Order: sequence, then C-alpha cells, then structure tokens
Amino acid sequence: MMDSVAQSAWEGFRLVASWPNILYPIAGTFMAMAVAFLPGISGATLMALMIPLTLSWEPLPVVLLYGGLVGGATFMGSITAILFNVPGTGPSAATLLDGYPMAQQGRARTAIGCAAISSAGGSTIGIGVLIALVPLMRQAILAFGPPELLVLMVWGLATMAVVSRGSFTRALIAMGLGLLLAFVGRDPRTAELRFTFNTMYLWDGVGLVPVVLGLFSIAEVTNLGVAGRHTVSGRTRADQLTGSAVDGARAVLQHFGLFVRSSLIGTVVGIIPGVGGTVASFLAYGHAVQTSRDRDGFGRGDIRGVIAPEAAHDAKDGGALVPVLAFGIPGSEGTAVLMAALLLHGIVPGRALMNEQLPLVFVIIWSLFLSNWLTSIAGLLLVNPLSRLTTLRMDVLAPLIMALAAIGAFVYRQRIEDVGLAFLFGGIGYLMKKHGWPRIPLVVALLLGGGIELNLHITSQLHGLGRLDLWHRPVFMAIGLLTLASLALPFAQEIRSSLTGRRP
Amino acid sequence: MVSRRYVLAGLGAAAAAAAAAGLRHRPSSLRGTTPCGAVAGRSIRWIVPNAPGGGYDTETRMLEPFLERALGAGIAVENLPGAGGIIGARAIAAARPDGLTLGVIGMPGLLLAALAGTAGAPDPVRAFSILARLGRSWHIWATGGSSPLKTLDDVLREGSRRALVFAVNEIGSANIASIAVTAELLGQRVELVAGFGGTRAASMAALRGDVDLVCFDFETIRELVEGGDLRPVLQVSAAPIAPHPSLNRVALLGGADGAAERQAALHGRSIADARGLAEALFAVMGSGRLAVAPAGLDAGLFDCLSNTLYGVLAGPGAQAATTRPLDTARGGEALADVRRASAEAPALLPILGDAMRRVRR
Repeated sequence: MMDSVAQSAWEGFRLVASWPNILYPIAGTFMAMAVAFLPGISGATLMALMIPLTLSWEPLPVVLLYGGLVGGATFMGSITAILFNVPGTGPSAATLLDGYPMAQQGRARTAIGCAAISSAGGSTIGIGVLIALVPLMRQAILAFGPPELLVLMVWGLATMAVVSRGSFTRALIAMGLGLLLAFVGRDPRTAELRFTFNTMYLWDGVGLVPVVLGLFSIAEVTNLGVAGRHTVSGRTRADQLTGSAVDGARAVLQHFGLFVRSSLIGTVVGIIPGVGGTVASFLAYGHAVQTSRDRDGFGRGDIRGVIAPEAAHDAKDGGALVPVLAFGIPGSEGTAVLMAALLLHGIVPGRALMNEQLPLVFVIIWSLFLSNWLTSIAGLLLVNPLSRLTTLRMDVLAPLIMALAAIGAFVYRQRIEDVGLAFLFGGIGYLMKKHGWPRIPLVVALLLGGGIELNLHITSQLHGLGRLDLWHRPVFMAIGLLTLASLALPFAQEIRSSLTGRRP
Repeated sequence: MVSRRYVLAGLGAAAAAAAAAGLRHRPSSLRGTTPCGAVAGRSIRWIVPNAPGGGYDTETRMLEPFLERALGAGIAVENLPGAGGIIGARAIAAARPDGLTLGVIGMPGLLLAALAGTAGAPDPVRAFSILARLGRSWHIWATGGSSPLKTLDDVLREGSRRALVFAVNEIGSANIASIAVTAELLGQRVELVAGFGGTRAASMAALRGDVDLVCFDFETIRELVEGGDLRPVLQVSAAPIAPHPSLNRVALLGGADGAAERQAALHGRSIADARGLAEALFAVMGSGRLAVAPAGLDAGLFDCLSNTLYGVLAGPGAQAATTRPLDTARGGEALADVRRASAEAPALLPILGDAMRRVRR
C-alpha cells in the first residue's frame, strides 16, 4: 500500500512540475491572491465563477487550477488583518489579535514575515499529514461524529474563557452574550424561529463576519479617531518602522514547538467536516496563550499570537481535503466548489478516486502545496510596500477601512442589513474596548454556539436512543480529557505560583 | 482629540460602498418590445436560493453557457441562500416580471412550507411563472455499508422490534415528509435525529452506525452508493428511479406490487388509502426543481423564455454537462404537476405535522 502511495505521490509531483502544467496552479494562485485583496469576491465565489469557464477543459488542468485557487486565498486575508484590523477571511480574525498591535507598534514587517513563514510551514505540515493519512483517510473521518464535535467545540470555548485577558467574570459575561447571539434564528434541529422579532433577516442568525468587522475593524477606527492617532503605526515615514520579515521568520524558529503544535491542531480540525478554519485559528491561539508561561504580551503584539493562528489556518487546508477526497464531504464553501468542479469533469471523490486515481489526488495535494508557498513568497516580497500602508494618514485610511468593512459585511450574505449590524457592533466594540471588556469570548461563543447546541442535541438524542457508547469512543475521551486539562491548567498554575511565590 | 472629519468621511465612504453594492439589486427596465428580444443583449439576474457550491448553484453554473448562447443574454448568477430557500424564492417572486430576473426553486420544500403556513413562504402556484422543470428528486432509503440491515425485509423485521433511527438535516425539509409518510405507509415507527449539516454528514452517521438509515435524493448520494458506503433498501417511487445497477433489486414503495400496498394488505389496512397516500407523496416529490420568473410575465415573453429554456435543457449539450440527469419538462407540464402536487399535498400535512411535533417534543 505504502509503495503505491509513494509511486502515486511521485507521479502526481511529476504531473504538477511538468511544462506547461505548472502554469495552471500558478495562475490559480495569483487569481486567488488578487481576489483576496478585492472586497466583494470571496475565494469560493471565484472558484464558482471558474466552473463555466473550465467546462470544456480536460480534467488534469482543472485539478491543477483548482488546487491553486484553494491555496491562494488563505494567507492573503491575514495581511489586511495585520495592517488594518480588517480580517479578509473568517480565520484571519484570530491573527488580528496580535498582528494588528504589532502593526501599531511599527512592526508590520515582522508580523507579515512571521505570518508568511507560519502559513507556508503550517501548510507543509498539513499536507505532510494528509499524505501520511492517505491510507487511513476513511478511518480518520469516521472517528469524528457528533459527540467528538461537541467536545472539540466545548474545548475551544473553555480555552478562550480561560485565556481571555482581564477579568474572568467579564469574559464569562461576554461569552454568554455571544452564546445568546448564536441562538438567534432558526433552531437548527427543529427549524422553529427564536428571537427573530418577526424579521426574516434574523432567520439565519446573527452573522459572524459583520460582528467581527464591527467589533474589531470599525471599533478600532473609531478608537484611533478618539485617541487622535494620525497613522496606524504612529509613524509617518517608512524608515521609522522597526523589525523585518527576517525577524518574523526567526520568531517561527524560536517558537518551533508552538508552530508544530498549532499546525497539528489546524490539520486535525481541517479533517473534521464542517468545523472550519476559524475554529482552527482560535483553538490554536487559545492553545498558544494557555501553554505560555508569560501571557501578558498576548493581545498586545506578541508574535506567538501570530504564529499559532497562521500555522493552524494554513495547515487546515491539507486536512480539509481529507473528507472531500475520501468521501466527497466538503468541509467548507471552497472545498464544496472544488468538489463540484471535480464532479463536472468526471472525477468522483470517494473510494474509487482513492483506489483508482491516486496520482490525481496527489496532483491536488501538490498544487495546494505549491500555491501555499507561492502566496507566502509573494507576501514576503511585498512586505515593505505593504508595511508602508501603516504610515498612511488616518484621514486617508479610515474611509478606506470603513468602506472595506461595509463591503465585507455586505458580501458575506448579500444582505444590506449586515452593514448596519457591523456598525452597531462597531459601537459596541468601541465601548467594550474603552471599558476593558474582552471581545474575543463573545466572538468565539458566537462562532461555536450553534455547533455546540446542535451536536449536544444530536449526541443526547442518540445516547437516549442507545446508539452511542461514549466510553468506547477514544477520540471523544481524548478531547474530553484535553478540555478538562484546559480548564484545570490555570488553577494548577495558580496553586503552583502561590506555593513558589512567583507569578504564573 | 476626535478627528470628526475622518470618522465622518469613513461613514460616508461606507455608505457609498454599501449603496454601490445595493445597486446591484435594482431591477433594470425593459428596453426591447419583442418577446425574448426584451432580454437579448441584456444581463439576466439568475437567483439561486442556496450558497455557491450547492447542488442548485452548480447545476445553474453548468447550464449558464448554454442558456447565455440560446437567449443571447448575459446571465449573472446571484446566490441568495437562507431560510430553507424561502429568501431566494421571495426575491424572485418580488422582482419585476420583465424577464430580467429568473431563478431556480425547489418546489417540494416550498410547497410543504407554504401549506404548513411557514412565515414568508411565497405561494408556489401564484407567485411564479413556471418556465421549465430542470429535474426531480426521487428519494431512496439507504443503510450504512456495514449495517446488518441489507434489504427492506431486514429493515421491516428490525422495525417490528424497535423504532428505526434516521439521520436528517433539518425539520421542515421535504425529506422529513418523505420519511414520515413512507414510514406511515410501511407501518413503521421512526425516530428522526435532526440537525446533521447536510446530506453527507447524515450519511456518515449511517456509515458509522450511529443511525440505521438515511433518506435522500438518489443522485445526491449516488457516489456513496457506488462506493459501497451506503446500501439502498427502498426506492420511494412507483417506478425504478434510475437505470443503475445498485437499484436493480431494490424494493419500490409504490405501484401494485410495491411495499406500501403489500404492507397495507399484510396489516389489514385499506389498500386504496395506502395507494392514495403514496400517490400524494409522489406528486409532491415529483413537482421538481423549476426554472421560474416572477408571476405576471407577458404571454409572448413567457412562451419565448419557456421554449428557449426547455430547448436548452433538453438539448444534448446541457444533458451531457450536468452532474446529475436532467428530467426536463416544458413550463405548462411543470405547472400542471405543481397544481396536482398542491392539491394532493394536504393529505401529507397531518403526518408531517405529527413527525415535526415529535421531534420538537
């Protein structure tokens, strides 16, 4: 089996690297990168737009192009998060927590360099795991059912509650608010409407993207205005900026253990259908905070807060291909369109693809690998001009950020109401920041609340029907223990520090 | 101090950006006067009521080049997901009937939502001009590949001892009606575990053995069936769903020799009632996914659009390009099917209502 995997991997690599095949993933990467900078078109929409254009193509170029499209958009969303506090994609929201404070300190170059290397390295680990998992893909996916998803999400929530800056009570209240917002809309199980106030807009719940854009981007612009700051970095000339991309790359090596662990978190989350990159990024961020002895710097420009979400975010792409290739289960919008494109060209994901067309599977994997590295290299090459944007005057930048936030909010679901929601949360976010209330627990609870509720219902119903034996589900037990450990760790550290007389 | 100027400038820019984005939704005015000429050279807004990458979206995008060529118009696909397809359907129904706003709707779900009084659901018969039928969704019951339940007889035997457990997506969808009515016809007790995030996630639950069965459109789980991950045990139809080897020996629900009538006879229930209920179910499920325009389309324009769309859908190019077989019909035939389904659907409502009440309990 391993011989045939190795042969197929080599055959796939040969197909990607040969001329002119190599042009397709490169073209796909640059198209996705361009789109990531254009508000209004998401990576998934670009992929959907490409479907009619590629109808008459042979299957191989389509696979090569789509590999590039999947990988291209991932890293670029983080650049706007670092520079302007505007997450280009959902998963980039975790990067802004420390990436943007770094830009405010004039260290945008270091943050972008670190993000680029973490992304490329994370994707390499994700793809490495994907290749290693090829013979075990099906078992890996089947190991994650509703109980496992439930404990994974509870772990995410527990981690964020524990690591939030400031008062634990305030973090719990913010989390409660996030959960309340997550329950607005149709009950995912019974389809009954809850807290919708007779408006159809709320049927599908409170959107995560407008809330994040409001709480962070709009609130930050408002805050900078109130503080009278003239530029994001507080500097007006590029030569006043500090740090370099090399410093960012070096930081990844200095925190290599965290980088590897975050990449593995991203890969595992990616494998689970329907969980997504945003959860991966926040879980990795929470893990970084929780496993660090000195946590005071997090949220204030700690480079570890960039390494963890970026590595997890890109590592997730490799993992996310597992359910698509093994079962035809798309775990995200992007992989859903990828699957549609494959089906159109007679490539049917599932057992037959894994058994009979393994080289084609590796063509996708290598295209994705190439694409992830290309975006990071482009990010490194552009680090100087990009970092100069932090020296732009706020009266030029603020309208741009507001416009980006408004367009981003609208494009999310094509609802004009979401623009209003973003500005409402802009006001709420400003007040929370001003009065020292943590915003992350609110966002993470909104992100995970629906999934926790749904999987809790399914798990309890299946358990009630005698269909689950939780004691014999090792993945459930393992993640459950991790959750308990996450909750216990801060108390253990507290006790230890009180015994030794040192701060944790 | 507060730089009011730049905050105001920001708000202004945001408003302008939002307004520009909103402008995309303004319907264009009708320029031409001849049928179909009214849309030739223009851009048609084609509304898809689910997200990019979904089944309807993919199908539309595959048909897009054929439709553009035949109509001589550009087609801009607009995804308006949400509320189980009701938001997209409402947007089509509310547009001006000028031929420049068309779209696709799933009639069985919309029909049941409207009959059940779901808020905001448009009247499926009166709110639209039905241009053509793209296809129909015929369901199968399937067990996991390694399940001991390998045939309908196995399922019925197990069902006589305990309730059969199904994984479903969400309550209110057409497949809940399909499961509940089929179970009623077979005299089975079922437990619906709802909330799985899509067809594939529910299918994985069956494959893992967390549930006994799933019930979905055959075409949406065809690959899983072909790969041996799912095993069909019942065709929820009166005739074979598709000429597919995996369905060769799979029981049919309807027809004189179907499982519904056999079970009715076995349990001393009225065969005529069973036949009537099965036919009502098939009428609703057979109403299909439709290409529609807002109601009130000019008769000449309707004929032209309807004929052109049907020509495209029935043509070999479109048939070859789609991932699932098109089961096309002209607008008039599709409308007749919808009217029949609308008349038959009330027979399903008590069973559907009961199933939904049990899940919500």
